[in-house]
Amino acid sequence: MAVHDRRYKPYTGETTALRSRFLVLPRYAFKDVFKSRWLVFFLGLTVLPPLIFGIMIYIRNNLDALDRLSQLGLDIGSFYSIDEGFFANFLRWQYSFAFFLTLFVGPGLVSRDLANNGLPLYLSRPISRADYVIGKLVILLTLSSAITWVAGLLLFGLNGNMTTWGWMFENARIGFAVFVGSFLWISLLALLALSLSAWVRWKVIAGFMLLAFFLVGTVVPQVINAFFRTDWGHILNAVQLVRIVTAKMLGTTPPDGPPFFACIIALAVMAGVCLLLLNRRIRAYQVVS
Amino acid sequence: MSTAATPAATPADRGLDGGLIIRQLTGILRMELGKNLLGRRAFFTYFLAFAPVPLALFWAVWPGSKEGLQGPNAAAALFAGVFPAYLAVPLYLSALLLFMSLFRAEIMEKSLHYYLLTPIRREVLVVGKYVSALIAITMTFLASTTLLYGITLMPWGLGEASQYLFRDAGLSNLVAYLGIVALGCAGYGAVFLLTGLVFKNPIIPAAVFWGWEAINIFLPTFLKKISVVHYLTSLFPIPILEGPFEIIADPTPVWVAIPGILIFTALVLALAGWKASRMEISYGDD
Repeated sequence: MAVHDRRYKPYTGETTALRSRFLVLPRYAFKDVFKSRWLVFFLGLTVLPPLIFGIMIYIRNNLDALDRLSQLGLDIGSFYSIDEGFFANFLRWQYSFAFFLTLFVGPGLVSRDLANNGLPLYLSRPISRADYVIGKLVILLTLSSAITWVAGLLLFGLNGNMTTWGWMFENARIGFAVFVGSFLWISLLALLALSLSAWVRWKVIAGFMLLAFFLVGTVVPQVINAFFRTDWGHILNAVQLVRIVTAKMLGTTPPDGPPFFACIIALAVMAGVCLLLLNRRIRAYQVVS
Repeated sequence: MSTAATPAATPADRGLDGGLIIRQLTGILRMELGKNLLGRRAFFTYFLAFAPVPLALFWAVWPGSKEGLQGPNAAAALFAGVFPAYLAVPLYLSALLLFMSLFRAEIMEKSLHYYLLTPIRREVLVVGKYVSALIAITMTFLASTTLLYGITLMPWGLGEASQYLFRDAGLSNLVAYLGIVALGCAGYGAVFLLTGLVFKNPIIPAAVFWGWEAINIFLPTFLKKISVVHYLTSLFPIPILEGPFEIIADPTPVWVAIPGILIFTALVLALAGWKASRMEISYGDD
């Protein structure tokens, strides 16, 4: 072909739909994430509580099994029942796992792009800043969802299947609380991890900051409460806020802390600050030093 | 007449030269102390150590601070209740950041090879870096703990506070808290130095270790002993009850707890030295 024929020709291949363009980021990120054997091992561990809770549901609803256990002197009926408290315990385990998962995956998501001056490469393509953030959030939310509300709703469905479907309608509040509570927690975790990852260029330091946020947030309120004889110190403790909201929605006794709506407002403020930080850091240009 | 050239004795042939090691340690300390006291990571240590000070000051000037507290003794009990939290978060996080950074930050900054190219035994390098960070963090936390203790007694005025300090158990309690802080820095520091050497991302093991330390009160007695916090709490001058679900174990006697932490620290440092002696850097991996 003659040189003068090599003119600009627009791309004529298939294009990704505008709305689903952000999914390109998770597609590549998942390949990267699952390269880590530690993460795969950890994900294996996160399956254990749902498995154990599933077995507990099975035993509680299986007359044969109950009969055999009672012959062995184990009266399961007096040990536990499948109610709000059961799901609250399940969520407590899975919330911890979601935190560790975010600590594992989250800090490197944006910091690597920033450290290698890669942000302009993303944003020079037809991906907006919002798409970039949503794409990164989807990575964390997908992984965390699988171990929190998806697993919780599967257990909820399992119990409904083994008892009566009417049980599910009567206890729809539990299913709703499992979904909303989990989604609040994992969204907050994901936003925090991304914003810290965007502000601190080193993955390790971003991880440190995330850990510090929760440790400081757990202990400072205790100190404030002890000195000033109040419960409002917990307003700084994201873990306690989510616990209160989840407990209120489940109908169990909430832990000490501010009222429900104050918790919601505090969580919204935390999420808002994270979004502001992300908005400030995710720019289509970088000053390369 | 021909003479065969005698090869120069290598450091290995010469064995350990105490004087040389001390000179090398002094050199490392001189460089590292500057980083650990004035560098960016030092800022976080100062921030975490002194962050509770404004809160405590606010409490001290708050008119209701003395309500329900009968004298400096009760304030000391309040300090005793808050002190475990001070160990668990500011001290823990500062130790994590400072000691983890000793090697990991240099790998990330691609500057560790300058050290490794010098004719210094790796074990000496580990000890030098550890001691410099230990001096920096211990000095900072001894100062902040003393300040916090002083502020807790502030609402009672100089007269009552000095009476409690010098005639009552105040001063001995303060010395005990300072000793606990120093031992905590030594123990946690050694653990995080090793973590920074072994793991590319030391935050996950640090979070797991924190979880282990946090659930220590619920663990059976034999498992309690595999932690730093158990030995530290055994040294508390005012014992505290952690909650209704605490499994109470006999506190470890002082003559076991102090050497226990020191021996543990020495063992972890030896392991870190061994790990460092086999370390190869590949900056591309980080």
